[in-house]
Amino acid sequence: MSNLPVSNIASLSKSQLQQAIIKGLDFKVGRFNVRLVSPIVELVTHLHHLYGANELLAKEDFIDFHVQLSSPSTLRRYFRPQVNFFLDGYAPFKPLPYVQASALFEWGLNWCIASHANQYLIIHAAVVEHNGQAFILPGTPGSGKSTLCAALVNQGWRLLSDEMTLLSTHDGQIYPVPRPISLKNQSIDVIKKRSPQSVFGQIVNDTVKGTVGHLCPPELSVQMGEYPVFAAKLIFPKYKQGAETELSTLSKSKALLRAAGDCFNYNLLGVQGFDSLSGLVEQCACYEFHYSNLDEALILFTELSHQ
Amino acid sequence: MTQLTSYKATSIRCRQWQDDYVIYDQLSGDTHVLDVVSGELICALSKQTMSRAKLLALLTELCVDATESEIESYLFDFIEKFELLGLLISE
Repeated sequence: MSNLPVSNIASLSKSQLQQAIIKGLDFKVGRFNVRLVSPIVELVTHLHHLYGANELLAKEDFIDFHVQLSSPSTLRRYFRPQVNFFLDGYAPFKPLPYVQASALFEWGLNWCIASHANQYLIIHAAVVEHNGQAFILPGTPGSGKSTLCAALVNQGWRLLSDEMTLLSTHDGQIYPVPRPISLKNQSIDVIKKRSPQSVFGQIVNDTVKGTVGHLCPPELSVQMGEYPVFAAKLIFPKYKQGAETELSTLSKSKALLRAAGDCFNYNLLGVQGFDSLSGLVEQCACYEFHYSNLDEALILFTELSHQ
Repeated sequence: MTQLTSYKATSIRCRQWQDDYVIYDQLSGDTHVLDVVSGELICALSKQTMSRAKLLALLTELCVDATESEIESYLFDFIEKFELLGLLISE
């Protein structure tokens, strides 16, 4: 690692950040290089609050994703403003209400990675690390993976991602993409109540996912965004109100099938996807986890991280 | 079906964990979980072409407690099922 001081987004004042985003702000997200161009002021606040630890790139650095967010240039911008997301000038989504710009940026960046980073087998899963062990938590929306992930991270676990696990098809390691943790609906208050010091971005109501808030990732996790780790546990969480805390072993074959169903590009990668996923399952202890009590969940996960 | 017919499983990857076999069909992209007996047979067939007689012998080794008719019936169902899935080719 170089001893030269590294500039990050926090080193810019808010007005400098605003100027930079209008022209194009180049910054690192894990191993990806992103250029964001936008005149939208809310995005300046979003990055200022949640991306402070992200390293700024040098002019000569290669950019993986050229992202732009802007309002459609129609009369509509005056009476019901909207925002569009572009990657290389292409808009993969329909425009959303202007107030959802920061959420659209996060979802759009998810899409960029999930659709293009096929050097990884990408599992729809949170991934956190403690004691040198990465825990992969796959789950569909509502499974409680992001809430569990946020609670663990607030207890000092390293965040690799709350949304996508990037399993290298070359070396079998998990590559981080530490970004704000997306919490929805009641989960926002649960985490705010448990960790009042948590920093959230704008809380956006009435999105397709309900109310959405993004939790700032720990600075150290972002700074360690270059460093991969091997997975040790593959745990399928399921939150259910009133459920007992229960961890049960899952056979490796069932774990593989379930994880394959949670991948974005398992079919696309073909045999390489199977080899990568079976390698992951081979090296991990696999479990199903039912919970409703976060305190009990944290105790159990901490115990597991010492096994 | 004669004893002269031989079978092979092409383009599959096998992984075994205890009594579970998972196979990946490289042609269809399908992933299957198999019981230990079917798994042993299909993985053996992925390594070499086998005659029906050889398959019967292997199956007999795997199912020591089964009767001759149970083994015949199992093999019949196995071949039918895996040919239908496109995992097994007869020659």
